[in-house]
Amino acid sequence: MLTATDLVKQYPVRGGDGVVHALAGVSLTVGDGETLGVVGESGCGKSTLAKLLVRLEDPTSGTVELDGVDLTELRGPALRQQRRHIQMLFQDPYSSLNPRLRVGQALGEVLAVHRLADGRQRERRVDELLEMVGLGAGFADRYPHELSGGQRQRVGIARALAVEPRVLLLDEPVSALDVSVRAEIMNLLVNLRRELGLSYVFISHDVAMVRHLSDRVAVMYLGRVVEIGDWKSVLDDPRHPYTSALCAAVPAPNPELSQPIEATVSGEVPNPAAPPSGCPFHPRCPLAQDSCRRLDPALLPLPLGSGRQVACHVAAERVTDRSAQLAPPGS
Amino acid sequence: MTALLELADLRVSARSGRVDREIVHGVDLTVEAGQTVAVVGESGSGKSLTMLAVMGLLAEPLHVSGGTVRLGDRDLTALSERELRAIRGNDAAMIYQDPMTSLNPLMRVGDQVIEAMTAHGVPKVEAGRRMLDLLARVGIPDPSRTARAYPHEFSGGMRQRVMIACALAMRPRLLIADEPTTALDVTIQQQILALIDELRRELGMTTIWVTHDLGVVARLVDRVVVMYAGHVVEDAPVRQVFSAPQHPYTKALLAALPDPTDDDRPPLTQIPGRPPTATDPVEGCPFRPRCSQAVDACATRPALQTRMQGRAACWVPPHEWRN
Repeated sequence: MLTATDLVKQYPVRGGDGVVHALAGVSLTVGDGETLGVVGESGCGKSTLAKLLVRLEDPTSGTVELDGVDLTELRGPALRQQRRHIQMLFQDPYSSLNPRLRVGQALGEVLAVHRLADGRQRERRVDELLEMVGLGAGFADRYPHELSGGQRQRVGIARALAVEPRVLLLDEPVSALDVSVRAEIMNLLVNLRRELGLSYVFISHDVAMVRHLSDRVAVMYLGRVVEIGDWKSVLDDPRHPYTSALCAAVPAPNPELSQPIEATVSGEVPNPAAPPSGCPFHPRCPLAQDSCRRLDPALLPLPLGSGRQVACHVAAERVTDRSAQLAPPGS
Repeated sequence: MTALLELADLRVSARSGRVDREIVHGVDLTVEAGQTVAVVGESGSGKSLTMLAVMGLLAEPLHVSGGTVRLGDRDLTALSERELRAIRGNDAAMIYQDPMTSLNPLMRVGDQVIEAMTAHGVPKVEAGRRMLDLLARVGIPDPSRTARAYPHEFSGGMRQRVMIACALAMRPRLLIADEPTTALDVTIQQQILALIDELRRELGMTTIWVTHDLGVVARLVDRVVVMYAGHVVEDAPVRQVFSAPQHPYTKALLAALPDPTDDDRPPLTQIPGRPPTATDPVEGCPFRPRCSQAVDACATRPALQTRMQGRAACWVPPHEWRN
């Protein structure tokens, strides 16, 4: 199980003496075989989170543990060994492959670096990996420029799988792809998860794709998790006004449904170097009240005792009001 | 209704050495004044090239290799670059996915909006006054101050607003919006879509949305034109396209999207194979090698024919489709 606890990441402001709070205390867990969807817009910290989880960067504070081993403490060979278990797949298959290496060479290199196979065995493993991602052994001799976007993303997946990871961090893996190719890659990810028992952290701005793939969903805004829970309750019955806005901004592809074309949230994401007081969403929130301007809401179970957590004063009050009325369940 | 824009057998080719490779293979398309149309297709479908051809904006080695583009009563393909410049930004305007590439990074944003008007003969003082109104109208806060900023000081959403102000400054009759929100965050996308749609109503503009995302356009348009491999394969009212697609490609494209109301989350429908390329064209119907409904007749390319309220280029009508 992958556990992040109270991750904080601050970057110094270029040419100034302030700091950018890229992550302001994020905690989450990803169980074995589980897919956690992470949804949010630019500046929400989702890419910083990914970099900390694969240890491309060190957190300012907080820990990342895999099965109880604190990855943030590891150095040298021990770190390399652990790093194998968490692999990252990037959005752009074009830029993450060496244009001068044939696909087979690129995969072979990964196996060599990690001393996973050599000689004839390495070739066999390369063919096996290519089969696994639906490309077939014939692709080993191709160069990246001879591949379509979808095929390159498959090679990216094969490369990530080469080291037999347990967790794949998928950072916008289908955003650059055409609709029909996107469907292929999404289906491949679903199949690999089942066959290999992989855990995914699926980072995306695309609510429809997150809904399609995730077991649980975390919604991020300005460096924090504002809502987290199982996929259906978070995305189909959102409690945080930001989650509601995100979901409403993704229309169902159906002209029969009346879906007004209106901005669900006004304004833009604030500068993370100068975050607003209180709740970070309050300047854009249609429900903001006085307390939201003063106090930063904690992530609390809502309703109480449920697995879902929400960081919102208004949502918390609504739940309290409802229980205060002693209404029978369901009314 | 009168036709504002009429494409007849429009062809776009790319010169490559001594050969001319055709990429857009004869598009026939009529857009009535006041209509809102989506041109939908995946990369390589020719949707953007077709619209760049309409605007006379194709750059070497691309060029119009046949057919006509009629805007009102003029054939744009017969005009000189100078005459086209008088039309672009005046009668017809286009906004693109990435505003950074069409805004001048060295020029204050206010001056760029002013230039969009002075280029068409609006006196400078009047253009300056209208610029402030325009910036306010597209939602730029504190226009008299922000007009002095440079594009790099703006967020993506704000830049897109500036580009909209430039495009609409002369109140064009035709607006072509080519994926104007693809690069933006979801909540900002929503703001920009709403803004363009509002301005479209206000100015009574005929609007063409170019997009790869059927979901985004479902609520915005009257009519959908589906392109595949340089051909129009379906052209129909938006409701019909979604409820009764008449071309197997349209149907496949819809099925490739996750259904946000389905809790079982079944596998997405894939389209086997890849689209033909300009260097490796397909005989007959361009979708035939990937089509689950293909029959012998498909070896001959089907023309667009009337299907319900629209047109589709397919020999096999939907009631004869196998599952």
